[in-house]
Amino acid sequence: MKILEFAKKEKMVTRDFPVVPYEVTEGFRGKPEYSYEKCLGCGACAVACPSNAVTVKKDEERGLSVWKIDYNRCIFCGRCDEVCPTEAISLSKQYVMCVLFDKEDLTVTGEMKLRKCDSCGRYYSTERLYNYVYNKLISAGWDRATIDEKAKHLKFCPDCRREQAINNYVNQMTKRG
Amino acid sequence: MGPLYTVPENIQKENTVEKKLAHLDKIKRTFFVYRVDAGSCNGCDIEIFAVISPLWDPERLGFKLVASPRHADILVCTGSVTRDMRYPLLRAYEAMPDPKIVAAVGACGCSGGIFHDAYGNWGGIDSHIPVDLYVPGCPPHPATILEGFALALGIIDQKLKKTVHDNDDGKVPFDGTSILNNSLFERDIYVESKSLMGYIHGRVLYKKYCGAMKTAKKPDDVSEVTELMKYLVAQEEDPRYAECLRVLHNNVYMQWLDRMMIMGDEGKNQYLIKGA
Repeated sequence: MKILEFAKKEKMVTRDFPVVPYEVTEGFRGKPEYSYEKCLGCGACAVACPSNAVTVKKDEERGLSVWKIDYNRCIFCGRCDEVCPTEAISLSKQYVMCVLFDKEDLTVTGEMKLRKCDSCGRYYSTERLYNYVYNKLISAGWDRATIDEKAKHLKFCPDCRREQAINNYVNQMTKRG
Repeated sequence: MGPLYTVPENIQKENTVEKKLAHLDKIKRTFFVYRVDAGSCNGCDIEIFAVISPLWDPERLGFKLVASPRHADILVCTGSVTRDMRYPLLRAYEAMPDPKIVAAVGACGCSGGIFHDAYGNWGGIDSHIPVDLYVPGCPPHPATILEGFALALGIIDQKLKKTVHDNDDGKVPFDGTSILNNSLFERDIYVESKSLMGYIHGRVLYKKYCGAMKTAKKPDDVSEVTELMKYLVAQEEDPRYAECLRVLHNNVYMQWLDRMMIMGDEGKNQYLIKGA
């Protein structure tokens, strides 16, 4: 009888869930939302992801960098959100994400053009990342000559850049005698 | 490595997608669920029990937990399959009446999750038995689990579809405007905000600071900016943001004035904002 009295006092607590959407609290860690327009393809999220839900793969034949998130594997830790320089991926409040039969429905893929190294002709970075870094250089308040000097190094892959640095150093040393 | 388990032919024949859909349509009013823990950390299991609580009450949809797989319509599996739990999982699967509907709950069940490359792990549920319903999450929210059942029974529609973006033009939106005509200042503010308050609140702090600085007529005029920041700190309701705004002004902004040769060390003290 006590329970009945208690039940009378309390109102119904059951949520009308599938009919009425559930309102999540502030700071809820839901589905990481990907914004393709903002993404640079730098791959910081893929490095940070502890469960390898985010992967970045180089497709040499088509000249594309393929960014992919698999929500099946995601553990909603928010590391990708933390490291993303342009907030292209961020945890949303979305909790609706079940799929029937096909697992691939839980994936999002973004393909970005790759850029060739000016010296050796290998793919080394995305076009977007190059443009972004170049714009950043311009807005960093240097004069034109410094920008050109620094931007020159952007056009080469890390291997060629290293080789050039060594060559420059050797040349300087031989000039000095 | 070949397939770990091939579904026997007679079971395959009885478990086509058409038969499964027809069965799901039939059990709309009441469905019996048997739960298998195939080596999970118990997080997903606790969330499944949270779903059965009065707050969510799936029994109004016809959900009933049963103690034997022979009575079950839906097999709910959690956890990445460990070596020891693989055989019980297969036994439960084969003991179910046809057509068998299998739901994988949690990141581990869907694909192996964070343990996908661990040595004792034999992959997700779907690398052993065919899975029909995927409920991702680590652990999934009770709303997500309930939504999964509602989706299987046809009460709601599936919202997610496979998405492929492939229209790249190599450009990315870039805002070149800077407060002090040098984007490195924004970078320093951003780095300092993140190190002060973490990435979530740090971004809020960064937006607050930069939003206020953009309203200043002359951002390199130290007296005006100091007045502005004093006003902002006084107006701020959350003391944590107030303190961090103060630190940003005293450390980063003053350092930048030094670097830009606008102001030397003398007379600097009168522009520092003191803490409460």
